[in-house]
Parts: sequence; structure tokens; C-alpha cells
Amino acid sequence: MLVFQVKDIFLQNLHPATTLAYLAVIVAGAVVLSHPLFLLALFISIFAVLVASGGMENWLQGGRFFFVLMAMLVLINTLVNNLGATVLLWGPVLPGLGRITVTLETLVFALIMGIRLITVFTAFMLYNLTINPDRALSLFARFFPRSALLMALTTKTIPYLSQKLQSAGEIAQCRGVNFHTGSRFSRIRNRLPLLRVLFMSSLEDSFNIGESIQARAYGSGPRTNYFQHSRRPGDILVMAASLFALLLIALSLILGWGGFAFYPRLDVMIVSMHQLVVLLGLFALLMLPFFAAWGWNKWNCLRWKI
Amino acid sequence: MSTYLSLTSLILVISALAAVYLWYERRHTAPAEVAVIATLAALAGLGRVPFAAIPSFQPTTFLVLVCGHVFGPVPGFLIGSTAAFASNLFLGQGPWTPWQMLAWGLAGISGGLLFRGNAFFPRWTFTGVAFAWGFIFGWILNFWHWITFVYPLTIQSFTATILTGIGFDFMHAIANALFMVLLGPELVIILRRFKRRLTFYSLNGKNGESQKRAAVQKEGLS
Repeated sequence: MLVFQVKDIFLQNLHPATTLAYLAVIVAGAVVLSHPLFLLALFISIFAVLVASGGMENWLQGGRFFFVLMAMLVLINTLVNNLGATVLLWGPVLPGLGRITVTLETLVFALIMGIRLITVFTAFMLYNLTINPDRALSLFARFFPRSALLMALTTKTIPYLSQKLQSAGEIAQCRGVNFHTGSRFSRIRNRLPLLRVLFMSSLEDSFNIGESIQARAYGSGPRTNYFQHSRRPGDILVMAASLFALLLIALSLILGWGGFAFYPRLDVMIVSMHQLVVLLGLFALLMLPFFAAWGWNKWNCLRWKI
Repeated sequence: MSTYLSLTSLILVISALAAVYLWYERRHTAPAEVAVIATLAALAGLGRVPFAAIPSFQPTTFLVLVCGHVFGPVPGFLIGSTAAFASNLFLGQGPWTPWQMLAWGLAGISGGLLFRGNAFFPRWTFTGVAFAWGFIFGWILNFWHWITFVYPLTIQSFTATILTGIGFDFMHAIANALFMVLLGPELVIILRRFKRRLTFYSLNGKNGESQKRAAVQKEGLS
């Protein structure tokens, strides 16, 4: 089970809106850009920030899952796509799909889509690592106070119910119910009465919670903010970098530099010097949080300033 | 072109979810109603956590369907989508979160729309619906994967995308049907009893007759 850990890292010290803006730019860029170099720039940036935030171990743990998904992408694209011109392998004729051909263009497309997929997943991994759920909920509570309360109540109830389920199981075991022997079906069936107990007792408790929040004047006026989110120079730096990166992504799309023609033959990577400048500019902007996070870990003087 | 579809679909799903939660913000909500929705969402979300080791075998969809049937389509949507978001705080948020919120929300709506007025619970119809939701849920989640990472966007490519996860979808469908057969009717009785407890009687009706009013209806939980 994932448990958020408070760490002394740069991104956890930023305003949650700043980190969310950076991650949103990365995810939006990853799904709208299809140029291999642009996607690579996005991936390297987010991966570098993840490593600087101490998330390398998590990323490696999730690696097996990424590679299964990437293998599926290669398989699906190879099976359904006959658009490439450079045939590497002629396969059999399958009913409904025609002749299966493995083309260079399809393999490159699947690989680039794999980079897109890993970029999106790495961004969410960084989200799970750096966005404190309490602070994020508090941020949304300004705009959605009732929904934030609903989410907070649900979130606090899940571990509580888990403990309750465990206690009910132990009580049942003391009375002679066996959950660990017998067929799989009987083991599941023996557990079902526990769910009934859990349902009845937790719904009973929910009425107490309702009375309790009413006693605390729920709904009598606007809610108070529990977290004071301060903005520091680091927030301005990352927010500005994210906004300018978003502008460069939009510019690349408008001018057609962010796109790439895979079929029938692979397009030329760099079409003009301006495209290269925009690509490098985007890369530099997205790498700024990495340098800030790296400097934060290395120099105390920088930590105090940002 | 497909990449624009991907971003557009993501924005549309997030906007639809925001619209539902905004609607929930704007109406008067009784504290007991908030607590009951949160507890039901927690129960549905909790179902995912202990069963996470067996992929797709979890009672969440079944619980959302039954809650939707008893409390109505809108609370059903809120229970399903809140369960998805809150349980992902423990399992990890990802690009799947908005789609799971939408899929479980829609399961809640469908549970709320089917046989709403019936005094008895149509167990076998709901078992069929729960079984079908095992697949529909997988298709909704695969949709974004398909429009973002696969080209060209054809029926064949969508079928191929679905086929890669058909085993998980089948396991999900079996789990839904199994939970519905074994626990469905009993759970409906429990939930109906709690729904009745959210009902109050006012004594200031005409000629002093007691006038039953469903608090849940008055407050919109219907």
C-alpha cells in the first residue's frame, strides 16, 4: 500500500499548485507532441526531477509494469498497422487482420509511444512522491469545500475500516471460523459474514460522524483554511518555467515542429534551426526544476534563497 | 490528430467530473448524507486494497452498483468516483484515475437507473449487469490508452487493445457476478434500512396527520 512520506525535498516544499502546474505541462506535452526528440526532452526532464527527488527506487520497481505495457504497444501496433513502407518481416495471414507485416516505421512508432507512456507514468510517479494529499485537498477545498470534505472523510475511513475488518476477522477466528483452509470458494464464503458486520457497523458509525460534523457547525458558513501555503522564489521559478514551456509546446504545435510523420516513411528529425532552438529552449525550461532540486540538496545557501 | 483527441478526451472527462462535484457543492447537503456517502465510498474503495494482489478481482463495482440502486444515480456516481480517487491515494494515482472515476461513477448511475422503483431486488438481472460492467469498465479504461498510444484508430486496433486486457476484464466480471449473487440481496436490505433511517417524519401535516418526507429526497439524495 502506498503511504505518502514527508521528505525534505525541493518539490515537497513548493506550493502544491506549482508542482501540479509543472506535472500538467509534462503530461499535456507528452500527449500532444509526437516528435521523438521533443518526447525524449520531456522524458529526460521528468526522469531527472524524479531522481533528484529520490524516486529512482520506485521507478525501477514500476519498470517491469512499463515494459509489459510497452511490449503490448509493440504487439498491438504491429498487428493492426500496415502503413509502414520499410518491411522488415513478412508474417502470416490472420483472419480479420490480413497479412501481418513488421515494418521499421511501426517499430519506431511503438518505441516512441513507449517513451510517451513512460513519460506520463513517470510524471504520475513524481506526483505520488511529491504532492502531499492533505495539502492538495486543502488547495482544492478553496474551490470545492464540500467535495474536499467528502474526499477527506472517505480517505480517513479506508484505513479505519481496514483495521475494523481485521479485528472482526480475529474475533471470528476465536469463535472457530477458519479462513485459511478449505477450497478457495469456501474461504471466500467464510469471509462474507465479515463484510456484513463491517457494513452494518460502519454505516452505524457514519450517523455518528454526521452528528459530530453537524455539532461542529458544518454548513453554517464558509470553511476555514487549515493549511497556509506560502509562495517562495522557487515557486515563481518553477511556475514561470512551466508557463513558458507550455507556450513553447503550443508554438511547436502551431508551427508543426512538435509533430512527426511516421508513415509511410520516417520524416526528417530536424527541419530547421528554429525548431532546434525551440526544442533546446523547452528542454532547458523543463530541466530548471531539476537544477533547483539538485542545488537544494547540495547547497544550503540556495535552499534558503528558493 | 489522435494526440489532440487524447488531450481533448482527458479534458472532457475531468470537466464532466468537475461539473458533477460542482453540482454537489451547490446544493444543500445534510451532514448525515455526507457521512453516509463517504462511508459507502470508503467501503467500495477498501474493496480494492486487500484484493489488489489478485488483479481485477475486487468488489468495488458490485458495491457501487448496489449503492446506486438503493440511493439513486447521483449518489451512486459520487460514491463510485470518490471511491476511485480515495483508493488511488493508497494504490497510486495515474492517468487511469479520471477514467476510473468516470467508469465507477457511470456504474453507480446505471445501478440507480435500473429497476429503481422495485420493492424486490432483481438479483439475476443485476448479476448480468455486474458481469457486463466487468467488461465495460475495462473498455472505458482502455479507451484512453487506445487513442493515445495506438495508430490508426480503427475497430481492429480497438479490438486488439481490448483483447490484451480481456483476461483482467473477465476476472473483474466474474468477481462482480460472484459478489452480486452471494451478497447482493442481503446488502440491499441493509442499505435500504439505513436509507429509511435517513428519513424523517414531520408532524405538522394537514389535520395533524403525520406526513412522511424522505430527507434523502428533500436533500437531493434520491
